[in-house]
Amino acid sequence: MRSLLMAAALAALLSLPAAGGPLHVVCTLTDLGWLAEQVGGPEVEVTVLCPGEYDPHVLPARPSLARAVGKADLLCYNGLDLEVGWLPVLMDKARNSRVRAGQSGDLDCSHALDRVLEVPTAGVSRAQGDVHPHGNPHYLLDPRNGLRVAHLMADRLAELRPEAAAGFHARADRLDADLAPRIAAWYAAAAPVRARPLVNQTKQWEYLADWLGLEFLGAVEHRPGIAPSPRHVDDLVRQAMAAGVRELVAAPWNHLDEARGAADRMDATLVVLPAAVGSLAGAETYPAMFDVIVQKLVAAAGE
Amino acid sequence: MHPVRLSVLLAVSLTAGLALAQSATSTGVSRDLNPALSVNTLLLGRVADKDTDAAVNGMDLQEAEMQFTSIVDPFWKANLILAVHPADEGYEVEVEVATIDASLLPHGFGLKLGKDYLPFGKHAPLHTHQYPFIDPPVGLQGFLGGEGLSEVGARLSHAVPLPWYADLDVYAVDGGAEIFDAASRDLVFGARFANLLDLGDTATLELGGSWLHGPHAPGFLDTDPAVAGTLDLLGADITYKWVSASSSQGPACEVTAEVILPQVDGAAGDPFGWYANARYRFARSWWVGAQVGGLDRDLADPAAAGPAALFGWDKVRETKANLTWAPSEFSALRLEVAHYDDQIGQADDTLVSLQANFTIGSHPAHMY
Repeated sequence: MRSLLMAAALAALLSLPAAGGPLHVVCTLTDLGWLAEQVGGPEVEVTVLCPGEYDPHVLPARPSLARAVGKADLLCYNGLDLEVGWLPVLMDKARNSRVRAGQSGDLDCSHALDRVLEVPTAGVSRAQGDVHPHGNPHYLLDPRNGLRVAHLMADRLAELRPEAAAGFHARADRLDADLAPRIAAWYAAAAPVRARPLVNQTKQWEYLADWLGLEFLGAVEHRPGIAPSPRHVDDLVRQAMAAGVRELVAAPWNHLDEARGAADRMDATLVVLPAAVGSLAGAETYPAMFDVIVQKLVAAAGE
Repeated sequence: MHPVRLSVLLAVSLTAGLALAQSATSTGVSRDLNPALSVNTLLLGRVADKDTDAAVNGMDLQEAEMQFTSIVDPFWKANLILAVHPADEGYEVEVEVATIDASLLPHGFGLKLGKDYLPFGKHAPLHTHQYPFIDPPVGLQGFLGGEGLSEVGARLSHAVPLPWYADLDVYAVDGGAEIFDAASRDLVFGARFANLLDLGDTATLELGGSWLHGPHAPGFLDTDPAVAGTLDLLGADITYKWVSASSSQGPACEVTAEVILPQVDGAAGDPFGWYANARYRFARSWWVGAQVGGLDRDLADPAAAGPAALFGWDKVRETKANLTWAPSEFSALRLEVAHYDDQIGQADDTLVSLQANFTIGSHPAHMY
């Protein structure tokens, strides 16, 4: 038992971030990277693994990314299995005991949520496609969740660097104050879209819909990760035309040829929205991403 | 193992597993701490135009691989892979991997203990369902055997502090594969040094070098069976990968070339093997691939070469092409044509194969 305790103490010691200098914060997603920069301020140096233009489900796990993880004092990830296809590989290659599961440098940002959408109540099966068994992971498309994550980051950064705790919490509070009125403004601006049925290319926008009150009739790629069958697309086109759908929403990394084909058949407009910070021009920050999302939706509804 | 006994064993194991998984906490058995389980299965149908090797004609289970992965405690992570292969009579079970990885070593060191594929080159560490073509390159089969080198021992890894990603693996194992002298008390040592350079966000270039040293099997590569000797294997490989950022499952390509040079005291000539292949994802779910390769040995009696023999040939050139439909990450159908040329025009063979590859359960992500 004594040797176990000594080993645990040694491991804990080795897990401590180096004193002095900025904390190395590695974030899997650009959204998380932006939030970490806002909360961490000059106390952190942020590296993002998945560029905004990449689909975070299928990022190639280049070992060079493992180098960044290897230097991390804090690893912030989306969780809910969004990065399950590549983050475990990087973790294995990084061999960084500070950010291993259960260590203080390991931060699953989904723990900030008060509600996870689409948690399967019955058993999941891959007949449904590449589903996320712990629920829908795209929660950062609701800015209120972004703020929750910011506070979670502040808490964890404060644990890692107690002497700077007040600064972390103050910056998270300031972000709250800055974004709260903008969240209300985005919600108000989206009023013209609220009454309109929409179709999406992939299931990606549920948190956005939950926040803004959007109504999605269905997805072209109804089984995540699986090319849609012609019969499904036929059925969806019929339903969409009957419901008067005028917009089909897609992320930049979706199969836009499929989306464009379906939109044409529905006589709808294809609206490509930024699904991550940096995924489209103009969406270089987290608030700017919502500016672009709301502007594009409203503009398409006005056409 | 007899096929009936194997079936009974599997049935009992599955039933017991299901029973445990459904147990309530009142039993004291929680499914939350069960290892992640997955099974990968390869089914293969194949036609050869000659009877060079009668076993290649027909349909069979190529392999079923059961994987169990879990965190053991704060210090170790464990991985167990059992593989079921066709045998002379029915099927046999083999332990392919049984390892524990140290989780908390400082300064970027990694330590793995147990049985695993040796990190020699690019292809040899792959599991069968990861192969880019149905069979391993003939240039590797000729010197490593058809199943690669899964050995028991210790392996230490470290990311070398260079401006690019560089990984050094060193290992010492008890050589049990066919190419090693299982009776020898000498260990097999080896190392791999892999360098991976980013060519922007979408492409990488990997340059690797491998070395392995150990006692070879009696008679390996026509050496005197009565004289114990050592084998040095040298390998070099280069891999280019590109994945378009334009869309998920969008265009992607991989190009790999590898050469292997056995150095054996008493072996005739300068044996070597090589291959080069390329794969391209030309549409969502669709890959096309091509491979060329060769094996050069000087064997007095090729048919007696034992583990080092593919079709018992001395020199082989291979040409392969395949088309793969992978509608999801968990299934693929592959059609492949492979032509083997014995270089003297007597025993050329062409194989047409159709392989089904599917995975169920929680399968860990593969290495890049």
